[in-house]
Order: sequence, then structure tokens, then C-alpha cells
Amino acid sequence: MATQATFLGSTLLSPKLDSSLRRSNRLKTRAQVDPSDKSVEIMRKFSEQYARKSGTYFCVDKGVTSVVIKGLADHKDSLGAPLCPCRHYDDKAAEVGQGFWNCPCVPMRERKECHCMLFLTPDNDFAGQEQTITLDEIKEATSKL
Amino acid sequence: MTSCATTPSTLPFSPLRRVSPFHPTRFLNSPFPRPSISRRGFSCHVAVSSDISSSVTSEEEAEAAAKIGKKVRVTVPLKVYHVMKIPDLDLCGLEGAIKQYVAIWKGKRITANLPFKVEFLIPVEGQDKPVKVLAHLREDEFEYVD
Repeated sequence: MATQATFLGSTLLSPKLDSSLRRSNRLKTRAQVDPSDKSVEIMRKFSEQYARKSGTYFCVDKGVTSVVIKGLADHKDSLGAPLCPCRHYDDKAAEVGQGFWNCPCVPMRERKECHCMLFLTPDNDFAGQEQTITLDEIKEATSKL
Repeated sequence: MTSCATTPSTLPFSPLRRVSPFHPTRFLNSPFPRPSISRRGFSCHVAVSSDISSSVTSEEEAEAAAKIGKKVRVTVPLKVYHVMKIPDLDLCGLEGAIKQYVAIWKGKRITANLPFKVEFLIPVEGQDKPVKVLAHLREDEFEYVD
């Protein structure tokens, strides 16, 4: 009954009130909270260190690297482990427990295949020359999202 | 009326939406005739529970268990880099045994795309004991050896 009333009520609203309603709806559908700076810094350092260790390089477009690092940080905050941010999962907790997709994932560890394009082998067309990325670069690249 | 609570489990940064597609006010300024919305409003049922999709049937578990221990041979050129003693190892033609099927874990389905964990024993020069190598393979990268 309450929902019925709400529905009917909203159709009788004046255009002004209706637009403010839409504005508040826009706020409600905002993307989730950003990962903590600490986690981003941890994943940034991990990415640099692992790129050096594995002999891989970051993408020519550092925006790609930044988004992936942020995604890893986000999963680290929400799930406790940096699950690969570029995949879809049915049960994230189970995936974290099993560990196949915990970064560095099995395909990366064994075959140096990173479909996120975070770690690229030198022969890859999109590989840059760098194995470093600063926090400022990450913040700048992801601020436009 | 069920509320539509869909939790995106893809990339964490989904694009912003102006108006939820499920909010009735979406139709107010549309030039087209409004769809007939029932007075009860919308109801959408979303499969939020992950239990149904990720739990495995006992048949699947038995099938997976049956494969463990089987001898296999790698049929495609496959370089692995995680073996310390052999930096650049090509597994093509090597024989091993399936140790584990990782796509099932504690009765739940895992989205691993290399589900077969195979153990190889590879002889190395200057060492009596062969090196034990564990590698994850896809179904189409090996064949069963009788």
C-alpha cells in the first residue's frame, strides 16, 4: 500500500520537485566508495616490485595500469585479498579462499599472461618502457572516472 | 514489491547513471506513450544469492575426482616461468599426472580457466632427483596417456 501511494504521489509532482528527485536518485546510484590510500599504495608498490621481478612492463597508457591497481586495492579492502579486478565471479569469498585469481594470478605466475594488461611482457605491442608508477599518476588517471 | 538490489560484481567502477531505470519518474518526460505500469509498481526478482550458482553437484565432484591421478601428456607448446631451477621451461610433449581439479573448492565452483593441476617430474642435469613441477593446464592442452 505504501509503495502504491509513493508511485501515485510521484506522478503528480511538479516538474521542479521531480527534477530534484532525479538529482537525488543520481546521487543514490553513485559508484562505490574509493579504496583507501594505504591499500592503493600497497598495491602500487607490489605492482612495481612484481614487474621488476618478472621482467614485465606497464602499459603505454598508464591509465590502464592505474585503474587495475585501484581495482586490486578495492578488492584488498573489501575481500582481504587482491582478487583480479578484471573478471566476473559468482562467489568472491570462495575465489579468495581458493586463490587462483589472487594477484599475481596463476596464469601470470606460470605463463606471464596478465589479461588486465597490468604486467606486459616486452614483446607485447602495448608494453611501455617503465616498471614504475607514482601515486600521483594513479590519482590523476583515476580522478576522471 | 521486491526491491531491485543488484550488486555489480564486475569492474568496480561502473558508469554513473542519471536515473535508475526502475524508477517510475523515468517515464514522465518521455514523448512516447507511457507503458502501462501496474498500480503495484515494478517488481524485479534478481538472483542475488550466490549459493545456487556456485555450489557444485555431487555428480560434478565425482567426475572431477575420477580424473585425479590420470597420466597425461601435454600436446601444445607451453612455456612456464615459475620453476626456479628451469627458468624457461617448455612442457610440450612432457608427461605428468593430474594432481588436482581446482575449479571445485569446498563444494563451490571456482572460475579458474586452467583447472587441471598437473605434476611433472623433470630430470635435470647435475642432479640425481628429478625436479617436481606443478603446472595448471586447460582440458585442450593435454591428452590422456594409457
